[in-house]
Amino acid sequence: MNFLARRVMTGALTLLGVTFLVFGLSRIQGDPRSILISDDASFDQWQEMGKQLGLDQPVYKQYQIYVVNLIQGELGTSTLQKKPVAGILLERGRNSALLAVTAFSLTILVGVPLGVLSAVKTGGIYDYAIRMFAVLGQALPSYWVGLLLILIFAVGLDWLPASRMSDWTSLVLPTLAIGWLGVSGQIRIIRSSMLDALDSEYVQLARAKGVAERTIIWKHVLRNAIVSPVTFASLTFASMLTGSIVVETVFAWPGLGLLSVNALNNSDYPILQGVILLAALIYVLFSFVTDVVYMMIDPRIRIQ
Amino acid sequence: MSQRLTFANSPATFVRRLSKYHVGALVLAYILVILMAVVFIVGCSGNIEHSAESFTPPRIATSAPTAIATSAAVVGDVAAPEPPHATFDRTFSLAQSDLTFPAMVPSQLPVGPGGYIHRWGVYETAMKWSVDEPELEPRLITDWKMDSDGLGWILKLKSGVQFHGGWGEMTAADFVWSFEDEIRETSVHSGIGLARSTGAIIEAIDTYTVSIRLNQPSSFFFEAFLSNGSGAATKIFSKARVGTLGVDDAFLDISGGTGPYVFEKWNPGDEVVLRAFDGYHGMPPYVTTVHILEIKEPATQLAALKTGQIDASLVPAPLAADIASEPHLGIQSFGIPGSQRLYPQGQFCMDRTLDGTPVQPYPRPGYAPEKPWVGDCDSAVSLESARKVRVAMSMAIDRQSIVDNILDGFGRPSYLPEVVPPLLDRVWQDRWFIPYDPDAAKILLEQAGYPGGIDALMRITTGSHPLEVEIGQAVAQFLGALGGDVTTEVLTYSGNRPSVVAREQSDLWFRSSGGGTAEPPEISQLRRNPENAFNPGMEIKEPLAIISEMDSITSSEELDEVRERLYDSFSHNMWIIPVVLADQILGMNTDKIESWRMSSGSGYLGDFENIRLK
Repeated sequence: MNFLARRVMTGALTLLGVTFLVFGLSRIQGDPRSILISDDASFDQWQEMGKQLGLDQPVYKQYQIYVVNLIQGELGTSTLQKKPVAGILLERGRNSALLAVTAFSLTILVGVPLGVLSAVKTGGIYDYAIRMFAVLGQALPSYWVGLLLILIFAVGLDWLPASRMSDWTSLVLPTLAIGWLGVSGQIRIIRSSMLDALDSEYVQLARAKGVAERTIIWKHVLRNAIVSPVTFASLTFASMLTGSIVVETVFAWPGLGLLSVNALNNSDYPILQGVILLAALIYVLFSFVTDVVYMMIDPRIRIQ
Repeated sequence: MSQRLTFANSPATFVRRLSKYHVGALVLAYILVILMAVVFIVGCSGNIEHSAESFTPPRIATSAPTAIATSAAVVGDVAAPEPPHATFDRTFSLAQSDLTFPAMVPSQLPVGPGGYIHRWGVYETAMKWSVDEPELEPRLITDWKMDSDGLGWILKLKSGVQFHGGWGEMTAADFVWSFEDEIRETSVHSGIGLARSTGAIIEAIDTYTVSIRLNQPSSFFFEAFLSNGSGAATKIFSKARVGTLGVDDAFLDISGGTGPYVFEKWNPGDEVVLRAFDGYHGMPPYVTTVHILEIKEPATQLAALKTGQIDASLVPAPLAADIASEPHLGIQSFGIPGSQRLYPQGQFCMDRTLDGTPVQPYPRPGYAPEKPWVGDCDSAVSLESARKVRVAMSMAIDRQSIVDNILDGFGRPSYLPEVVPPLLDRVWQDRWFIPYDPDAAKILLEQAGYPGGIDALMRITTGSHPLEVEIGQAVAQFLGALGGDVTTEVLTYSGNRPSVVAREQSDLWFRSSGGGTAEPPEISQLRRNPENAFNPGMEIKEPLAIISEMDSITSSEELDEVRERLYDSFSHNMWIIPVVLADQILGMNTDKIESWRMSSGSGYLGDFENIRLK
């Protein structure tokens, strides 16, 4: 219980720190008036717009208002769109979540078995092929992978749409572009953890006792090697949920990533703050869930 | 033992057994599982296209009927509900790199949406640039005449012009209100400074007659406010609409406008859908539905064009041949080329505005007399050296090489800053030609005290032209060839703008434009008076004084004479260094599109009413 309580406290402090950073960084990015105001605007108009946007207050006061509003669940209103930030995040977050779920499914369903296979067949042709696949997935930038997928499957073969969110077919290419990186990471981390576990004494003991190899691998080795992959999977899913800026831009996918780009280009502070805060919240939440899962899968953590 | 047996009989064991002998089967099995997962997710989330529809803000979706119901009480003369759309459906789609947001109140209309809403044909201006010739033709007016003293105009409005969404007929009251709201104290609309400086007063004489009076002559006023050339153009909004809905709701409400198209949907950052307006006062548009899709990445735009996902897109010059080689695609240059130029920033030499008001703060944060291209504002010798540096920089740029090698011939060298056709061709004098002569440039630098060349940071801003980074970097290399160290920094236009507005910049700034407009460049140059918000790093009295003089001239011959003096001054001083004029290239699905003629006054995609499909 102490362990979980400490985690909750840490998460809350992290979020508070994030609000400070988000607020500070967004102010460094520039005064939103310089984007919004017309070329001809006078100094009086500049001041007037500052009042409308609350920029006439001292910075510490602006921060105070921001945090108090946050605590009350008020994320503010988009400077440009004049709509509540929460609503915009919900709309765009739903699209990113759809992409994240499919990409994460790909990561788990392909990454885990290939990682296991690579570890079990160490030094064999499957191992080399899988490692090559993983290295490529991590080395190739998502931007390039996305364009290549468009070139092959949309322009070349005309099987799938080149971009944008339409029917289920539009999910395939962005899922592959995001998922390949996740699959590659999962393969490498599972392979590495499995190899460590395969060399351990309890595995040698199990083998000496005549336990079937498949039981050793799936029950003893994988279960003991799963802690690192769980962490990785958790953070991977969190990053997918918060939107991939590059992939969403390449595929014109209207998610949080694309929203961030537009907000950044237009100095739309409230949106930027909302996206980053949401991302931080998701990471904190997933870290917490991961800790709980640790306790479930590793009794040593419960004891500690 | 029993536990082991249970485990051994699990599905995972079955897959594991498969993997031992049939890895291909394993992969296949997982692909099937993934497909099932995708199908499951899609099933759970419903039709994705349907969910995309639901992005439309509820207010936008529901406001039109409300508008019809409530406007009756206010206007008292509401048009009958719009008849159903024509039975035929000719759709057209194109990609745009940035769809901002609706802002449907004149005083709250910033630069981005301000340009779109009339170029797309939803809102209209009094006059419009003709398709065939670079001349203005009436759109919302039938006739106009200038007062004998040259200080005013009488405009006769077209009768029977209906606002979208049932907001009634456009009258002089709407015209007057649109202009007055645009220039009100808190307005963010472009062009308000010019309107105020002329003391423009606009009045309704009767239902269809408007009078405009200025307190000083202005040759620029008419084109700046009454034509569709620039984003600053005065669009006519329904007064009743904003009065009924209130400013906040009207901001997001997408009804209104008088153009051939109505907004059906505007999802910022995603999609805009236009539908032909059945009650349009002019020729009904041929294309009935226009989908404008936001696709930021140019390569993705072209992929969408090749696969038929969209019908038209801008094409970077190096890819034009590739697009043209596709059997169903074609390319065409359109509109007015965009000016690509270099601002030698930091030239803040005005301590007072043109009307004598002290500049605050002075000196400006970005004033940098130590920069070779700036000089000391209090020293004629220093300013002359800085002029030589700027001229040397200009002569070091091989403009034709940029046109040939980066623009693939889709453009031409530029020798006058920000001056584009058709004005450029009309006023051109050979003496303004700038030779590519690096040797002469080095001599000039030597005379200016920089025999080893100049060190500089060049900011290249993005977002306007697909090749702006390449062109900017080429310019930096040409300048570096003079001997100095010229580094580049690439950033978005909006990312750079805050420090420009704050007058903090003293580096070189390479800035591009996607397309030009027929609006005289002096209008935007006049806006650089120190009292206004935006200034690209130079507050210099000489050109501003000449432009101000031009503004008060009403004879076109006299205007051109002074304009010649202005361009002589620009050419001699190189306050802004012109680089190239880049054509806008449009890639189109020629299997579908027969022709698309755009207004001669604008270099931006629009005028959908002039598209003809096969």
